Amino acid sequence: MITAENIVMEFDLNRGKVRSLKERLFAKVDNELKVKKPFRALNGVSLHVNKGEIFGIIGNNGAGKSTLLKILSGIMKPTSGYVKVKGTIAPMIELGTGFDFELSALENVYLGGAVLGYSKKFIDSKVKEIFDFSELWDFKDVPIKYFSSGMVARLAFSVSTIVVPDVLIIDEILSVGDMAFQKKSYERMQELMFGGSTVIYVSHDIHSLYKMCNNVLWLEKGEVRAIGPAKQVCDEYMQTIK
Amino acid sequence: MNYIKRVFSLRKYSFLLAQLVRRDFKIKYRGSALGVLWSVLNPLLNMIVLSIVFNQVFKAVGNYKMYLLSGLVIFNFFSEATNSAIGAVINNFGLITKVYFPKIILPFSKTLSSGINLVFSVLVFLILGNILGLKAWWGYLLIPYVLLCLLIFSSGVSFILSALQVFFRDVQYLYGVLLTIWMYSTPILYPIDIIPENLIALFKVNPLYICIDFLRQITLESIIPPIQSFLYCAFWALGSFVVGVVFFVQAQDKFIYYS
Repeated sequence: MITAENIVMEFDLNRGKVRSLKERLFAKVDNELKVKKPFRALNGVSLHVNKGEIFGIIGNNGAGKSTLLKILSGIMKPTSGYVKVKGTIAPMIELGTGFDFELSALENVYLGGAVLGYSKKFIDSKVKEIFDFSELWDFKDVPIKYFSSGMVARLAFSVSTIVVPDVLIIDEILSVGDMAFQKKSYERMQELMFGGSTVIYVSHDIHSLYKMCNNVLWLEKGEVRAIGPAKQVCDEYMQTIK
Repeated sequence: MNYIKRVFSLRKYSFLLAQLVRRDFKIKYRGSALGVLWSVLNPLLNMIVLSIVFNQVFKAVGNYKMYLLSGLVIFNFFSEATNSAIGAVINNFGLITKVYFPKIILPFSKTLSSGINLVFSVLVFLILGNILGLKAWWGYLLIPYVLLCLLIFSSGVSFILSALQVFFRDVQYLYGVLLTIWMYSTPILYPIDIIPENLIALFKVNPLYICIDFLRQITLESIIPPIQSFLYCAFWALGSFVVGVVFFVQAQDKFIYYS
């Protein structure tokens, strides 16, 4: 279902510094630009995920988890290496992508859905479900700039999870809204994850990884520290933390 | 071939394109009492002011008012379309870094939004022209052709500008200056006859002038433009569009490093 071989991702740390022509000229004078500062966010990562599998990724902050997710979902192209994904992907890297705060909740459902690649017909058929789930019927026509952040998150979560994609990519988004909604969203995620999709799941919550995943990849400083059955890798990971 | 297919997976993303255009349109008039009516009122009031000024101050004769307005309608569209598209990519980095979709949709949606305004402006122009003595005739049916060419031409320019803007944030300022030069080197305020003989060829290849001239021949002179005008319009439109798409697609994989 998902195959990635020898993924290398390099960033140039000096690149972000200089942007305008003037800065460029002066940087030339200061000899700043000549030094490239390459940074390998990922170094030779390979993985294979079978259909229907729940695949976990752990690692400390800055280990390259999010970069790997972005490469798998096609947002970034790796410097070298090969990625192949079969089927539709729904990346849930951040909730509410594409929302415009000037627009009303209903308008945002359409905009957010369109950004995720859904058709008008499909969204039409899901509007009721989305508002039922988020419990935001009363605020349907209110611009979301007047929403509380919890309400925005609820709406965003509901839009992101309306579809059962072939591949679901989840980057720690379970803790949304108040306690009641958290429970609800947790159940919804479970439903999605066990609904036949292939899931790639990034989390710091070792217990939920342990419980849900078949296989786990442990990333450290951009390299594969361990890959294998969830129990084995999680135990290893826990040991280094203690 | 494969990546061309990817860029033009617009079928799947045509709904996103429509949504982005709608968003621009909605937000533009949100909160104003007259709302969408401004799309008509804005060009109408502007044109009335201009024609009064030129009547009173410059004692404009004959169809000069319409001559001027026809040039402005087209140039203003081009200016609005490209200026709003220039930041289309950089202002949407929040989107680009979170989800995959054909990025070329972003500048394209801006150009299309301006295109809607262009249609309103041209309608107002034609109605005003009718009041001021221009005669509507079947040649008016050719106007959509030149507007379509203009829209495609502007899209191509928008693709290039929005991609360049990612790498050099100076582009928008440089372009502002370039646009001013372009405006004054296009025969909008003055007739092309005053251009010296040796320079006239240079002025005549200006794609905006070609479009303006096309519109003027139909509305002011009531003649069908010569076949060359049709070809030049199509040539500039397709040329700019193809170059723009290729340039944008080549550049787009590097965008993410410049966020």
